[in-house]
Amino acid sequence: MKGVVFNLLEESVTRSFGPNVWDDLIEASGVSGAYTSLGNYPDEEIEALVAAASAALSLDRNAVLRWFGHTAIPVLAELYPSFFEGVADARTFVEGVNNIIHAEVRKLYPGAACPHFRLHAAPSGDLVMDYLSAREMCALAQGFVEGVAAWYMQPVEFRHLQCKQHGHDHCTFAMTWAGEAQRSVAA
Amino acid sequence: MIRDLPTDASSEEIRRLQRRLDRERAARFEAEAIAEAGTLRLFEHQRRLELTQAIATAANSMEDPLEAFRFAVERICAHSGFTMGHVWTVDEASSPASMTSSGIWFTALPPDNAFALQTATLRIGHGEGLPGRVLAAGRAVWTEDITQEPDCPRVEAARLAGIRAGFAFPALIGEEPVAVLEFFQSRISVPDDALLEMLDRIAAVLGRVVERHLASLRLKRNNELAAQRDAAEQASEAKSAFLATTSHEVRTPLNAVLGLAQALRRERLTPRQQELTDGILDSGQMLMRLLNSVLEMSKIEAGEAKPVLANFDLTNTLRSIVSIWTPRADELCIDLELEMIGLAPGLVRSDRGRIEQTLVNLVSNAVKFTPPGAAITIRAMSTEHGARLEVLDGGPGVPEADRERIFRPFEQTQDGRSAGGAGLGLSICAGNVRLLSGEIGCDRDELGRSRFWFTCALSPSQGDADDSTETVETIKIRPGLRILAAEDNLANRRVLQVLLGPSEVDLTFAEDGAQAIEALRAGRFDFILMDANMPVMDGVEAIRQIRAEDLAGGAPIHMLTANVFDDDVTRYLAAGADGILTKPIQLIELFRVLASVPVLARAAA
Repeated sequence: MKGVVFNLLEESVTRSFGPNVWDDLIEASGVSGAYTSLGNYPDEEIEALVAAASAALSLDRNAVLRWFGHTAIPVLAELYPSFFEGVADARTFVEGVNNIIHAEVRKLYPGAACPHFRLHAAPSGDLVMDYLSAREMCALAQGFVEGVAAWYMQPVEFRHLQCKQHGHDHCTFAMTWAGEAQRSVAA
Repeated sequence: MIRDLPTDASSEEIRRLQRRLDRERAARFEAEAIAEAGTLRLFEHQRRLELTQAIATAANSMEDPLEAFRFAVERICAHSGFTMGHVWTVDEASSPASMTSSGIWFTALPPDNAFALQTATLRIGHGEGLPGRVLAAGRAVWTEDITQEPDCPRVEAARLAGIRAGFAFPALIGEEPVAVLEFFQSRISVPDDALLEMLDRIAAVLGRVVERHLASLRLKRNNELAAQRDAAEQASEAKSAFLATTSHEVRTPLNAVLGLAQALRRERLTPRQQELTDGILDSGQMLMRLLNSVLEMSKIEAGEAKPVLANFDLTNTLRSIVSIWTPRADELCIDLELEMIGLAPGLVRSDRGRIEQTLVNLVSNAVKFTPPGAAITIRAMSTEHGARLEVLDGGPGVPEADRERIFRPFEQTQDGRSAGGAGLGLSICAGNVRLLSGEIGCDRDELGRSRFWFTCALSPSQGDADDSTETVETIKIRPGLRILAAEDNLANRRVLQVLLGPSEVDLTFAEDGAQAIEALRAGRFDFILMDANMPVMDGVEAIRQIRAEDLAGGAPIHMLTANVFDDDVTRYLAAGADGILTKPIQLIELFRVLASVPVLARAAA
């Protein structure tokens, strides 16, 4: 996992609960806690941190990841304002995840293993997204989408049509933005 | 470090801050290490890029591949820190490909080190040692320690020279290695994949130098061939010009000999003297024919011969040839017959002279080779576009192996040599037939008789026959016609005098162009004959002056010369000649021209 994700997690926790809570999570999970955005760290470390948060907050893993995604977006907007510049609405931002966001990430961090999202518009106008990743972090994806919705103040209804955690070979989401007119999407 | 005794709460806070600081420091060190490694990678990348560019630039500007290899070896040694570099070149002619040393070395070792000495003796094939593996794979290969390689022929020498790690890569044209560059150093070292990747990119760059070099060699070879061909053509032209000049030089005195002999023949002679004169005439005419053949051949070879088209009756022509040859055939007890198949009498258009010459040549050969008592048949038949003429003789015929050769100049069979030919007759026939758009060949007819044949195109005639029944006797030249003849050669002057004497013309001679002009200033003439080559002032210059000063007073000026190639004729006409008469003098032609000379006012203007 890229160091930037650990940095985002640290910042999200610190802003919401104060620096002491981050210290506690590090101690409880037994990780080093020294993360730089240039580095790469084992997936086990983020899982250990999520597990520690889950225990501390009495929330399940998915709930912690979803909270993290949601909370990380304003931090992301502060650290990387260029990601949001010129993007008019939440749906456009989500649609650009492969070509804009992850393309930028690869420029900054060559070799980053970004998940791939397959996007298409359903006949209903919903944006349908297949999440293809070995990490089973669909809840983080949901959190990010909801965080973006909040950032643009365009509430989204996020449905999990199928989930790897329920035995499917990949996750599929459907997203409807409230008050959104029927539109065609070039996914 | 902490001077005041802290409270529990504050000491806990300090420990927490201390840990946080430690984490931050660890993160910073890590970030710096990552950034430094990234910078280093970038630097290495930049250096490889610079090296690639330097080699590419050099390769583009260098013509000699060995020079480009030497440059690449030096630069790659400097780049990689490897201390020794060497180049193998693939032997173009080898199959399967094998390599020998190019002699290009980059090393601090003395030139007679064991490794270099052994390398110079080797021929490396596919898969033999490091360079052999590159030759087989067509891409860069690394070896951590050459002394540990089972397939390396230079293990011992490498040990002696203290050589361990090595790498090598090819120069490629397409997929084919044309050279292998190898590098060594004195310690073991693990592969540098980025370097190998870069070398694979340089492979094609170096290959292009070789490709360009080969292309320029090919071009040079082609240019050399073209130059050789040009030289050969020039030599051939020079030979033709030499032949033409020589023939002319010989023809002028020969003309005189023949003319004088003819004149002598008209004198009252004893039978013995007459016989001797006839001998002179026969031999002189034979020499003249040979000379004409040589000249004709040189014209044909120089591509200057052109068909002279006229209307004539082919059946008449054939009959007259047979009647001319019948006395000679009778003398030799040879039966000469003419068969005409589907050949209608009437006018056709073609080059009569060449058809006659070709047929006469074939008949004359047939007479030479036919034994007494046997027969010669001339068979003429019409074909779709013209006629096919065959001469069947009673001789042994031409062996099949020689049938093509005999139509080339100066090629003769043994029989031909024994019969005393010059080896030109058939090649002139072949040249004639080419001009007549026909074919020529020899074979045997259905009865096994030796047969020479040729075909020629005939077009329908346009207008009347160009045949003439005129003879010198029937042409009337006005007596007292005033003729000025400029001719430097005494013998030729004598010939003119002899030939024109009976016509009672008034003949004045000038010995060069300047004398001719003097004569024209002094008196009036009805007709002027002008030789081309004369001392003091040549014929062309004289005509130019006569025209410029209007000295001819209306008299026609005709060149009388043996130089009648197209560009000569153009030159004469441009100078102001009214016509051209050829040497040897054709009496009928000369008489016809003289008969047509207009009567000029007798009085001076």
